[in-house]
Amino acid sequence: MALKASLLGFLIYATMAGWLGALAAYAFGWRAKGRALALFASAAAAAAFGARWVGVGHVPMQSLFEVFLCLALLLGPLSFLWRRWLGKEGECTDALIALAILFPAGFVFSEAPAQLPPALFSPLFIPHVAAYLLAYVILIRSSLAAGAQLLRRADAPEAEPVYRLARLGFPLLTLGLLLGAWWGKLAWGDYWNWDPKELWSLTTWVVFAGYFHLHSLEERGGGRLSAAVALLGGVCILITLLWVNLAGRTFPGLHAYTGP
Amino acid sequence: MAFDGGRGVSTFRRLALWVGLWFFAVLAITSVGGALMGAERASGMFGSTPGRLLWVLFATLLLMVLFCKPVSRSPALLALHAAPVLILAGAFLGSAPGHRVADALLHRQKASEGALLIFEGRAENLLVEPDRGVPLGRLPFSVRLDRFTVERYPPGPSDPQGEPPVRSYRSDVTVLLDGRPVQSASIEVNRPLHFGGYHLYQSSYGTLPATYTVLTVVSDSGLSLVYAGFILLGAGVFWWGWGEPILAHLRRRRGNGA
Repeated sequence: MALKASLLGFLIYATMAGWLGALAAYAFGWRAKGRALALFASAAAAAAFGARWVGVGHVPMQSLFEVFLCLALLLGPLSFLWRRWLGKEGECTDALIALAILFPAGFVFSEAPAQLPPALFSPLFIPHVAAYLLAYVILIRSSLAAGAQLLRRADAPEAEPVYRLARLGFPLLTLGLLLGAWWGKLAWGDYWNWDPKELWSLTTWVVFAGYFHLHSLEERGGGRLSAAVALLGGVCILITLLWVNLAGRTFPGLHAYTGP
Repeated sequence: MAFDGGRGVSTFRRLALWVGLWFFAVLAITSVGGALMGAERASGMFGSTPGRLLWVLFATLLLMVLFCKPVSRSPALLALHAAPVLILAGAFLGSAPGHRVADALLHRQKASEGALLIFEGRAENLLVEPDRGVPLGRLPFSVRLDRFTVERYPPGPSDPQGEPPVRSYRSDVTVLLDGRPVQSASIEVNRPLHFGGYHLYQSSYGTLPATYTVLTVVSDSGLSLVYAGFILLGAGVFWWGWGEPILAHLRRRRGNGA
């Protein structure tokens, strides 16, 4: 735990303050004020991402710190996109997710930049990571909506946010996997290396593919079993995202490019 | 019994979905197991006889599903279910057993994978096993290492002793066919050379007893099938996940407007 006494740190804390304010405003039922604060937070997140980009001189998507910064950047616009599906509760949850993403970026991860190893110099670097990050934000949102549905002990409402979000995010998850395979072929000589991170991302893909099959099997869709599978998919995403850093020393893999 | 276009689920469809789900469950559990045991043992597990049997069963199920409604009626679902079959077929053709089968059928000799260790200024065609250097066979062409270059980051405060991290390394090579030069190329990480049915990758290097490079040589058999599968999977998944809902939305709006 450490405060970041830099411009970047200031922008991260400003983003957090914006989301915190938005959360409070939603809680009081002031939706317009909440949205204005969420907009401010999104702008601050974009400024933080831009500052990092200028600071390190490459698109900041390499270390876990930068990845979380990027996740925070994506959340604002996505929250705007899907708020019609999720309603009032959704906006509160989005603010909470943003704070959960920003907390490790602001207080836990080190912002020290690392020098890129040769394998990361590829035009596929940004599309691969960007597709995955976008997919992760959308699918984790779907997973949380599934968790909320399970807590309510009810079948899905008419709009079925879990399914719609999963269907929005799954193509991006697939794209990330395919771009990664293509890149692996160019960099390592093989499109599939049975690397632990590859296997975790395959697990995530399979769990969501299973969710869609289960969903089409259920009489009206949106049942509790498929919601549980969508929730499991979110857990898999968290493990995939953190795997190299959590277990890197025990199970090093090809994706272990930098420390936490 | 027949699929009625709504949520009615026919017996066969129900069965296929459940078999598919069980396959997904097995794949998810084994791949978590594989992630815990490390890449080498995971590769062994998925390439073992039970592993291969599972892949064959999976491909068979997918092929059957292609002819059943609603998959057969939807271009997106057709692409999504055909793509893994292409990828699995390509992966088989690219594997060592796939090469043995093709060698026997086509009366040829093609190695699936190996390494070339080339000293600067020398030409080499002996393919060796990457870890222990056991000879595997000779390539139909030779590769001469004309020059090897390592580029490093400028020294910074983070690395007071020792050399700064490597930024890139490169082998300038010439391909020789029957002793005559036919192609010159630079091989870098992320930039392999494709020649004579093989991809040559910059893999490693060393300086003792003299500067040498290690190129990983991988046969390209089956690769075009795999890439075709990738493209089909990508196109199918976006058509299904984004294209279909957008079209449905537009149709609804037009319906409301009329």
